[in-house]
Amino acid sequence: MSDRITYERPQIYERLVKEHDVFDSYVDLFVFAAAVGFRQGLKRPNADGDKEMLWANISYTEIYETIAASLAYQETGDPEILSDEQRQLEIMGEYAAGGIELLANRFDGTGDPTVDLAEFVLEEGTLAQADAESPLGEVI
Amino acid sequence: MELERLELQNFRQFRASILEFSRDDDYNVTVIHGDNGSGKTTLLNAFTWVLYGDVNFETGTTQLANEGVMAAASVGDRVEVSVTLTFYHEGDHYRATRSIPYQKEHPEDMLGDPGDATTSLEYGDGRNYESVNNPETRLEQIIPERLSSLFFFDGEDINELAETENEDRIKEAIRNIMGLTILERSIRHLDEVSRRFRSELKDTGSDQLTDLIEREDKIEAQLEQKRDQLVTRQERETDLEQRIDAIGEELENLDESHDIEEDLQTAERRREELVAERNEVEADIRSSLTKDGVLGFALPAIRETTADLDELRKNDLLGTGVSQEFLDKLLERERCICGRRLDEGSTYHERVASMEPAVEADGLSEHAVQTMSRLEFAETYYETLRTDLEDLVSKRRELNAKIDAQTEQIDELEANLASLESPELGQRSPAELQQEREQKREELKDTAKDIGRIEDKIDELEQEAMEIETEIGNAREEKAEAELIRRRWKASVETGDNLESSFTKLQQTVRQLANNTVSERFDSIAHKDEDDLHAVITEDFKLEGRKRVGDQDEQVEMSRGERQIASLTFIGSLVSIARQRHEENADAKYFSGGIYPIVMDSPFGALDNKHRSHISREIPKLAKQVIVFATDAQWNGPVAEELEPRAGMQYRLDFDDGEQAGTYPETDLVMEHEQVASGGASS
Repeated sequence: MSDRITYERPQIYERLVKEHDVFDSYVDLFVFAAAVGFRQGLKRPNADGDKEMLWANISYTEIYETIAASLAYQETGDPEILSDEQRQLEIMGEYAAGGIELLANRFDGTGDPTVDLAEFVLEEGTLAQADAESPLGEVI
Repeated sequence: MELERLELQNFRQFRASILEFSRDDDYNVTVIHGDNGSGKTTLLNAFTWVLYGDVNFETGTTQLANEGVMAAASVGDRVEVSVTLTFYHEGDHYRATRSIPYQKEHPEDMLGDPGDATTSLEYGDGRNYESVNNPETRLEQIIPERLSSLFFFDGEDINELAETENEDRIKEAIRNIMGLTILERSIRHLDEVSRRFRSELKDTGSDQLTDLIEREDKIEAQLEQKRDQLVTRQERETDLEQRIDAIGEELENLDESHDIEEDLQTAERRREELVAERNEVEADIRSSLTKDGVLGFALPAIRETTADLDELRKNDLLGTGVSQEFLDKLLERERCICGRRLDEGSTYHERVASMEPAVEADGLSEHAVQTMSRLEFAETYYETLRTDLEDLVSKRRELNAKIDAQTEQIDELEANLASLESPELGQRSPAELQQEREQKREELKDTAKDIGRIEDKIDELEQEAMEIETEIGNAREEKAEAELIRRRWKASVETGDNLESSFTKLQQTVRQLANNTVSERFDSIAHKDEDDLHAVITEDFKLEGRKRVGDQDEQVEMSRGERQIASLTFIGSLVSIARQRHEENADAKYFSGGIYPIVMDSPFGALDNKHRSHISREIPKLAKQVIVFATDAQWNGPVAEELEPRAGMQYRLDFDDGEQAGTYPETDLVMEHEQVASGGASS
């Protein structure tokens, strides 16, 4: 049985993926939500959702594989986790559940969220850049 | 359908006119000629008005009442405007009448306030007549409105049919003329059969199956309703768009508003371009976001992880190196995890091939190495993303500003129009036109929204229907009897699907039939000119001109005259196909094919004499009964030469333009000439 988790797929998935075409697939949004959740320190335990996310979906895209590994390593500090794909998927799922809640609140209108989302991403980039460059970033 | 007589009462410039149609087999043409403006188009409209309530006047049905009669009426009087058409169809004699009373509201009122229209249809054998309860439905069965544009048309229609973007019209014409073919009949029968099986299944099947079937029934009913709604909205949408365009033209034609309207149309076009640009920018934004948007958030984690792993590796804490398997995989892919190509013979290939695998690699450092090497790529992608995204977002802001500026300009111009309130003689003022246009635009927006909603709902319902159908198809019934019925039902559905696809093939067959006739008839005209020009209906249902060049048939532009001839022969071919099928399906249960007359308004356009002659020669062959309108100028020369010998009835329109004091526009329909073959008219 290949590595997989179950997850919940709230309405925001439909909106961003199907309705407004901002993300190509549910997987893309899932990974995005996980990254957001991680950055904001938001985790939710994996609910018994009726949707499935397979590791194969994630590993299909190289950078997503790397993100899964990095999030899991940052979470546990254990290098062994780099070869534990099931665990990586579970951790990613927890952050995705947290991140998607933030996204659902932040982009809860009915209009086209494309530009808002773009600005959201740019904002974060600025912060991340600042983090990386500040000498304090190493200490914090 | 064979036309007998058209009676007009107070219908525009016709006070009390009677038009009898020739019903002779040999002298099968009825000619009506008169100057421009004398009432030919009005007569054409009289047909569509009495049959369907449709008119194609600029003013719609608001100026139908005869001015002279209105002028003579007293305030409060009702002027009865009516048209009666008598005709023969399938052995019965029919009399269709439509009338509207126009009430004079005040002494200068020339238009009158229209009351409700009444339609009546009687049929009988010449002595005893019965009234039809649903006249509109019955008329629709006899000569469906969808066919009306084929059989009542003006010179413009003929031209349009042969234009380049005509394939939809041709497809539609062919589909319409097919009516209900034997194939459609079979499909219907199969539908009935599968419905019967289905209701048996409902009765004998399990509760679960019964539930499913009931749900499916409900959804089908909803779907039908929604589809009807959709068609109505779409027709309304088209109407509105046409009306809005017409208003634009009117505004351009008025001296007062001409310049403003031109500026307005330019500004609107510019704004459309800008909006399209903005949509493109937004699409680009979306594409960037989906690919690389995640990096903005994930990069810090990747960076830190990489730094940590690097530390661990430096201190030899990461595990025992890479496995042979891992190396083999890289060589097979011919690409290192750092991205470099490992082509055979290259230094890098050698390096990797000669690497010492660890005896007991635990895969840990493989992952680590992979993660670290990908960081570099991630950083590059991210840089690009940021720059692109920033550019796109700011470009969009710029476009928004430009669009706003355009909108301001448009608003100003519209306000200018709205201030031009004084009408030119006999016209509406720019302000009125602009107001109507704005109303229509609002309505158009609402209609578009409705259409969107209905389409979404239809998608939803279709999806549901498919799911239920699958469930039903898969349900295995325990009772053998029920299982048998279920399988039969399934089989009938599948057969129905197969027939539907045959239907499409049949459409092509009819196209070929029509094409043959068109080519034949057209060739017999064109060859005389040594032009070697052919007319064809292509597989995509386009009416095109062709010339033989070497061993290829090349598409060529047809002249206006040639286009008109090609269109006329196409219509003629459809009419004859319809007659053929009608004659072949003597006991057809459903309406399939029929005999139709053709009524055409000025099919001669601005053609030279040679083409007029050709067209005139074609006209009697087009249908059993042909009614032709022509201007006096067109009537002289080759047209009269060709048609007079074939005209069973010939009329002239004497028009008084009502310019003199005390007179009003009025046309007198004068019979000039009547002839019948000794064999007499068919009945």
